[in-house]
Amino acid sequence: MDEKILEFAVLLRKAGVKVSHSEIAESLGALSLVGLERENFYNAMAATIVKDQSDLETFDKLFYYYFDPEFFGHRAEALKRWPNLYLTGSKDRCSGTEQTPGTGQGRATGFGQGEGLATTAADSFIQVIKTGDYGEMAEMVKRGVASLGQIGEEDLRDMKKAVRQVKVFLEWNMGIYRIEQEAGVVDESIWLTWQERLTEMERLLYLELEKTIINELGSEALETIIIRENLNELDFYRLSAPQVAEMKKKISRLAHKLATRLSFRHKRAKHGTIDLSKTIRKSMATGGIPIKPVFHDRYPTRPEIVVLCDLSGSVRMFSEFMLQLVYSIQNRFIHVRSFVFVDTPDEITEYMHNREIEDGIRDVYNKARFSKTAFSDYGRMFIDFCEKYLDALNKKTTLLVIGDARNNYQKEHAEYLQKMGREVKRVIWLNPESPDMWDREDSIMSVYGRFCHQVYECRNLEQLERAARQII
Amino acid sequence: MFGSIQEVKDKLTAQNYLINDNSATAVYLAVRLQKPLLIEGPAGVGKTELAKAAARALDTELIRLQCYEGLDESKALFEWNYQKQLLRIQANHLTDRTWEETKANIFSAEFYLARPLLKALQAEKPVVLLVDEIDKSDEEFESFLLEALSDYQISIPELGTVKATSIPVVILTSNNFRDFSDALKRRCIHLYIDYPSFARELAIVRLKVPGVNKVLAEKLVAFVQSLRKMVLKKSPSISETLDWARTLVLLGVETLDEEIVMNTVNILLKYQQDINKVADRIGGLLPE
Ligand SMILES: Nc1ncnc2c1ncn2[C@@H]1O[C@H](COP(=O)(O)OP(=O)(O)OP(=O)(O)O)[C@@H](O)[C@H]1O
Ligand SMILES: [Mg+2]
Repeated sequence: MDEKILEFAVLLRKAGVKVSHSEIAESLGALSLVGLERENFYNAMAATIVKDQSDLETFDKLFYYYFDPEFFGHRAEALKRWPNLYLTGSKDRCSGTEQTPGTGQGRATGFGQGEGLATTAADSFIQVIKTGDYGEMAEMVKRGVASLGQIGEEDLRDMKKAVRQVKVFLEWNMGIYRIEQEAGVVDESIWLTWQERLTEMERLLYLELEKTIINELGSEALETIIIRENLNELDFYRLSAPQVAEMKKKISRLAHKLATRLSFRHKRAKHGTIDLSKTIRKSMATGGIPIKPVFHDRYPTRPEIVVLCDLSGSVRMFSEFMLQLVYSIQNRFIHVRSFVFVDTPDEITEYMHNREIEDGIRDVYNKARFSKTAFSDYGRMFIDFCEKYLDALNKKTTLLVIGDARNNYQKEHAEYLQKMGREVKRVIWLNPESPDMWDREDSIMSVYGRFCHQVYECRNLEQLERAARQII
Repeated sequence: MFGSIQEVKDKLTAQNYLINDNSATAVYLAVRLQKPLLIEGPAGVGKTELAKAAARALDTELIRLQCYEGLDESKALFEWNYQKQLLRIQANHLTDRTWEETKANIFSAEFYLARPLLKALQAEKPVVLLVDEIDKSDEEFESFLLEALSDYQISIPELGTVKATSIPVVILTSNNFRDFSDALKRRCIHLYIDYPSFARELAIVRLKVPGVNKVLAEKLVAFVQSLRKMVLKKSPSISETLDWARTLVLLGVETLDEEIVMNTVNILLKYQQDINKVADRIGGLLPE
């Protein structure tokens, strides 16, 4: 038993959850108190091991996969050790399933499920979303995953593709499209419920697919999958849809952390200039003798910041995260102005200011004019920026450029970036690609890098956090 | 002492606190393993109330340490009563006592004020120590607290080491205003209280606002639950649901309609931005 818990903890760590030895010991103590009935077991493990709410999702997932009867089917001794684990619970999110994945040959091509002429797969999908029966939802994703037939290494490597195939089979996107058509007609409360179920369906689909892959390919697959859970180290462009949502939460936590850390650090000064009036007031308690001097608090000077975001291709996701981060902590800066570009810059400060990030970003895509040719052109963009917005820069400004420096083999015009650099306090470039991709093909990072004070690799959350600390 | 998870549930229910299995397990473990319970979650979901109810359920005293920015050891632990000491010094002045005598005298038990933490450690029988909103305190205080809670003893230069007479049930609450150190988190049993399910919230409303009829209670809870699915600056919490229910009862409302909701929705939502967002959708958000 101890062994199993230890191994579970090792996997959790690989997934990016911090687990200490004392916590493992604690969880064992807890288990001996509450027993092994599945729900108690789960609750006790969660209470003693998950100390950060944002880790719960990962914990749940691993718990579901690891303490799964099928998974342990490969490990007979484990089954003997944990007899009661598999007997109870059926509807909760951490329960196991009995069915073995499909054994069919060849992949469905995705023209319905042949359930008769009247109902198409999309009809069933819509039906399930509308009724929201949990069992039916689970049943449907199970059928979808079974349609993949034999699961192979390929599905583990490119899970997004497998997900697409299942969705085609279930006519998932068609279903969503038709449900969205109804959005305007039905009551808001119903629509909100449907949306919630759509998210849940997506989550169930990933759970089912991953679990099937693990059961098929064994513990190495589990490890691969669980490492992908580690959002701190996962490349931004690799994120799946549910992970994007999770990442947004993480970024807002990061923003929160950055904001509060700073304010705390600058609160009560321990030395510096003495605040005489407060000192005297305080000395009243000690009979007029100033035993403890009180100091003037020091307030940090806040920087001004101008953000320049590449919205093309694979950089786009990262730019959105960065915008979210910057605007969540905008009160940390005197002033934030933001621009987006593909081949020409457009200012988006207005759309983002005091708005919900999602609304702001939607407006950016609908209203901003940042692409004339749809092909990246940093050189052109710098020229245009100098022409239109040079007055946005001054000696207090930090200029933040976010992009992969892939210039599509266009003219560099680095002298314009240099010109911008002369106007500001510092230029910082965040590149979401790994440095061994820099200067390859059409990337000209070092050409522009010469005119930056710092260039950071910023592929994942961990690096983003590090860069953000530098910037503030 | 709680003998089982079920007993936690029963005893807290008897104190008018309705708890789910997940929370009950965490409470049970914290009490039995003698570990601090760190409760996080949005405002108004019953974090503080849980501590209070637990104290009543365990039939013991609740000692509360309310945290705020700048809270320091002296306010939490122990403080010399300067005023009283000064008075004694002045009084002794008029007699022929030596300074040595006076000094020994004024640094004795008579002249200090035990603050919540010390009180909790010195209590005759185990109390519930509620360290409320610990996220509002600063990091220095957090590490001081951590030390005190690690082995339930503190050393105070003037008094020597104070060891707990009885180990208190410690409950820390936080609104996530800031993150805690890993050391603190490692030390604690963790509980995240989220917004309640429809069924539990309904039960809480009916328990706490007896005047509300069943149908109205169901409708108002359903409405609040729908609001929580929307993206709002601040979602309504149990405390807002209860306030709203009480208001509706006071107004003599029998059933919900758009107008009543419109006129009272400011009890549920604190931001104008949220109110605006909800205002034109009230019709659709109301249950049938
Ligand atoms: N499970 C419950 N059973 C009964 N009443 C509850 C429950 N949860 C919350 N309440 C009621 O909700 C109200 C808010 O609870 P409380 O003040 O404890 O919230 P809180 O989480 O401490 O909020 P804050 O973060 O603002 O301090 C109280 O009136 C409490 O009685
Ligand atoms: Mg409270």
